[in-house]
Amino acid sequence: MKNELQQRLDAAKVSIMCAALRELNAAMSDIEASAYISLDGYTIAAELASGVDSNRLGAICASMHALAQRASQEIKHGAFNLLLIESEQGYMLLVKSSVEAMLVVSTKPSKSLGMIASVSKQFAEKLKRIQETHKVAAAT
Amino acid sequence: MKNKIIITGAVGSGKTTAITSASDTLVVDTEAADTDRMRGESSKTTVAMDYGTLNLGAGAKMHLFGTPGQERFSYMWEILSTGATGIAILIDATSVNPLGDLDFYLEVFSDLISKCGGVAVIGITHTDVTRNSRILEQFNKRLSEVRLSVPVFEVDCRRREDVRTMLYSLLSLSESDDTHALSH
Ligand SMILES: Nc1nc2c(ncn2[C@@H]2O[C@H](COP(=O)(O)OP(=O)(O)OP(=O)(O)O)[C@@H](O)[C@H]2O)c(=O)[nH]1
Ligand SMILES: [Mg+2]
Repeated sequence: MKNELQQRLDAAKVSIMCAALRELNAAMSDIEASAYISLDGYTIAAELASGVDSNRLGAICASMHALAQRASQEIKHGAFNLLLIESEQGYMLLVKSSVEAMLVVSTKPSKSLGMIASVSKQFAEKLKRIQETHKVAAAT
Repeated sequence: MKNKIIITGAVGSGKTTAITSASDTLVVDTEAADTDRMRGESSKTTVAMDYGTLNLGAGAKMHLFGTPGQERFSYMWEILSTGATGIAILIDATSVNPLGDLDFYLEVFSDLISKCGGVAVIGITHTDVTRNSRILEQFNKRLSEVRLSVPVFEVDCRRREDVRTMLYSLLSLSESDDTHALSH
């Protein structure tokens, strides 16, 4: 059982992460939704359209992340950074964030894919820092 | 794919360990650190699949696909089952209700078991750490109750020979209803 302080810190961390995700969703008009997901498939923070099951999405993204990482190794391309899914109605990006988590970004069909990828990577780094900062806080 | 075998069963039943022990090639695993607080700090869990192969001689191979155990990843069960020709269900003897686990997996994979023409085996794992010496008997009783003639093995997933013996039995099951099982 977690103590009360730890629970409050966790809740604070999630709300700071959600704020960062909202900032990401607003950073470019093509970006529609995003989520921060642990590598074993738990959604840590999410700003998704209503009707999207964030738990199910989290699990599926963990499977894809693990396979993408394996595929990069298999073809000897080194560490995995980003997985791109192009669909009729938009793009989905899985961006490596830390050894524990990834950032998932969903967009409309867009001509600014390079920009979207670069902004997503910046936010993946930002979310990683939020997670780490709060770990230190929790430890002290 | 000829000889595509699904290895399934509950969390921690030993699927990844079994494939790693049995495989003749380096296993493709997709494990992630388990952040679920219910399990030990350092444990790992499969989030997509395990893949390994077993050489059968004359260039023939058995392809081993391990599923994730956690039900959150159950969509992978379906994806991996496509085109499977056999199934091994691993049941942890130390689980709260091993017979309940057996019923659950027989139910979930009933379509696959019939599609494979009954090429299925049950492996009871972790028997080295349980006190229930009658478990094999209980399993055979339950299987005859549901009219399934499926062989049951005690398997220590860490022991290559145990896992291989179980997998080879699948082969003889498939040969008995398809004499050309190895011809491709
Ligand atoms: N004592 C004992 N330990 C076993 C046996 N089989 C597996 N283990 C251990 O059980 C633990 C879990 O095994 P895994 O192979 O990761 O289990 P899994 O079925 O792949 O689990 P998930 O991927 O989470 O579904 C490991 O530490 C294994 O070494 C067994 O027959 N006896
Ligand atoms: Mg596993």
